[in-house]
Amino acid sequence: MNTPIEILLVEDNPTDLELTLLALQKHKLANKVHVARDGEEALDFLFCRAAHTGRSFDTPPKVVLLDLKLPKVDGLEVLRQLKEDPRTRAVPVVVMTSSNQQRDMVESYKFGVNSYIQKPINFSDFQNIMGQLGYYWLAINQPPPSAAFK
Amino acid sequence: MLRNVPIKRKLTLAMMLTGGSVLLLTSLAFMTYGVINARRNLIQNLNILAEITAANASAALLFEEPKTANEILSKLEAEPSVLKAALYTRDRKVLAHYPQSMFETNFPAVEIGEISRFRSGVAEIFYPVHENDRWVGTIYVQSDLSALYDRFRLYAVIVVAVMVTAIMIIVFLSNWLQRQISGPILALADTARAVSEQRDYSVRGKVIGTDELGALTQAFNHMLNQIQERETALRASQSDLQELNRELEQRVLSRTAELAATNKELEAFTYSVSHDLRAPLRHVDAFAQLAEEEAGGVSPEMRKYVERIRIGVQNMGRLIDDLLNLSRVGRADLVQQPVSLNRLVDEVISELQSEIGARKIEWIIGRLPTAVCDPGLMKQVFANLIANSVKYTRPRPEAVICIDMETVEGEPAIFVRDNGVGFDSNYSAKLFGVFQRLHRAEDFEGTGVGLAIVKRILDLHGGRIWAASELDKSATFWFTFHGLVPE
Repeated sequence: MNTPIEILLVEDNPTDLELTLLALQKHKLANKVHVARDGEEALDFLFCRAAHTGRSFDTPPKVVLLDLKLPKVDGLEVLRQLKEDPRTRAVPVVVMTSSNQQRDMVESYKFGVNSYIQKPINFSDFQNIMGQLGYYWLAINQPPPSAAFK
Repeated sequence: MLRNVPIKRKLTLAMMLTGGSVLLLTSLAFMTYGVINARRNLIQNLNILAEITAANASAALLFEEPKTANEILSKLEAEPSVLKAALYTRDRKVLAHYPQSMFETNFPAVEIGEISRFRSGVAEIFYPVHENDRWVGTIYVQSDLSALYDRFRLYAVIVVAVMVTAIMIIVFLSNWLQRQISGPILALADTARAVSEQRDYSVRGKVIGTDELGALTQAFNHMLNQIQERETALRASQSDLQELNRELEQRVLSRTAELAATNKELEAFTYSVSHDLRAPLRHVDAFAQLAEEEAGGVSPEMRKYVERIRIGVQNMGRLIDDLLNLSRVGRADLVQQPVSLNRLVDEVISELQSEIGARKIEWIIGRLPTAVCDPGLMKQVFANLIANSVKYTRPRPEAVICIDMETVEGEPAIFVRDNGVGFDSNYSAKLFGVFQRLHRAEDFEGTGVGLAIVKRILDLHGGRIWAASELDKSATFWFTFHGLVPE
């Protein structure tokens, strides 16, 4: 657990979680993932509180993969709180959801989401997307410098 | 002038004027007659006096004896109304005069003949005196008019007394009479006022007698009866109407609430469909793939079955997408703006390129107008129709797709025509229903939602769509909508 967390995966459905981790594993990305099973857990992690008081705002994950339908606090609310707080605003967030509902897309982009992906039904496609996603956010993209988290 | 005077006073005035003027005329006639009569009496009396005196004095005149004549004249003292008297001889000299103290010059010159006249406050006569049928002189008598005045005074008193009595009687009578006439009228007016002020149509006028006023009151009551009946009917229908209105409003409210609830439910349903229905599909597909990978080349049959599973899942996914699309179209808020239909067609065709691939398709595209419609939805109409044409011309080595406009039954209509496999016209009514397909899934893929979406969009635009086909030769789809006007 000493490796810094690179991906925060927010997913409540155990099957989806398993499949997502499988897809990440395929691309050797699964060992740097922290999983939050609901919105509250995700917020606790990102805002370094409750079980995560030891964490620092200076070392956020390189990307948050956020499902929208979540127990307790839903994905849009997590996104809103994240993008409202100057300490977490710079963290890149990718919404990953089954839905292509216009309402979800509009709200997500209004709150400042960095990317919006509809999970395809075809698992091969999904695996490819996860690979591209991980490659892009972890390797290609320049993560925000720590000065961005103030 | 009398318009604003109350009827009571009008009636009294009428009677007073009529009675008074009749009475006045009668009194004037009576007085005139009396005065004429009095004057005649006065003169007659003077004549009689003169005759008697003349008879006594005829001898004295004949012999011109002033002393005797004077004596005779002085007897006139008995008549206090006689002011003067004189005897004239035949040669016009004053023989004697009365009163004797008066100067002779105060007597007028003698006039011959029987003369009587009135002169400033006095009456006077000259009367010839005869002795044995022989004219011997003239007597003159002057009298004051006190007799006349007395008569006058008497008449005046009588006239005034009669007038006063008559006026009193008139006032009394008119009072009584006008009560007979104005009483019912005033009562009727009171009733009318009560009706109009209190809107109480149950009030009735009291019918007094059977004269015109009685008839008027009866007519008025009859009118009130009718008004009351109508009023009652009106009230009843008004309250019925109000009741109905309330019921209707209540029904509208509850229906609106129901509708809103249904809409909300539908929205929640689609939302959860879009999220929750796709997730298991993804899982099925994923595990099918994983199973396939595990099975490795173990059994070719197994791989085929897994492939079938995955095709089924893809179809299910498309179906869900189409259904969501359809329900979104149904709830869409229409944007209305001018849209170049040719540009829509160009966009749609270029987006279909991957589908078309290397196929040979001849496009015949006419000049289409700029129409007022929702750009996104109208694009979907063209997209679905053109994609259908592309799909159903697949067996043709040379496909021809024509998109143009023509007038159908006086209405401008856009049409999309192709030389594809067409459809059985017997089932053309089913074309636009949801999940209705006229082709086998193994021949042409599809969910049977595309044309239903097209129809719904055109419904939203106040338009319609219809189709005709010659099986295995061609198919044509026409559509019109409200904003479509030829250039």
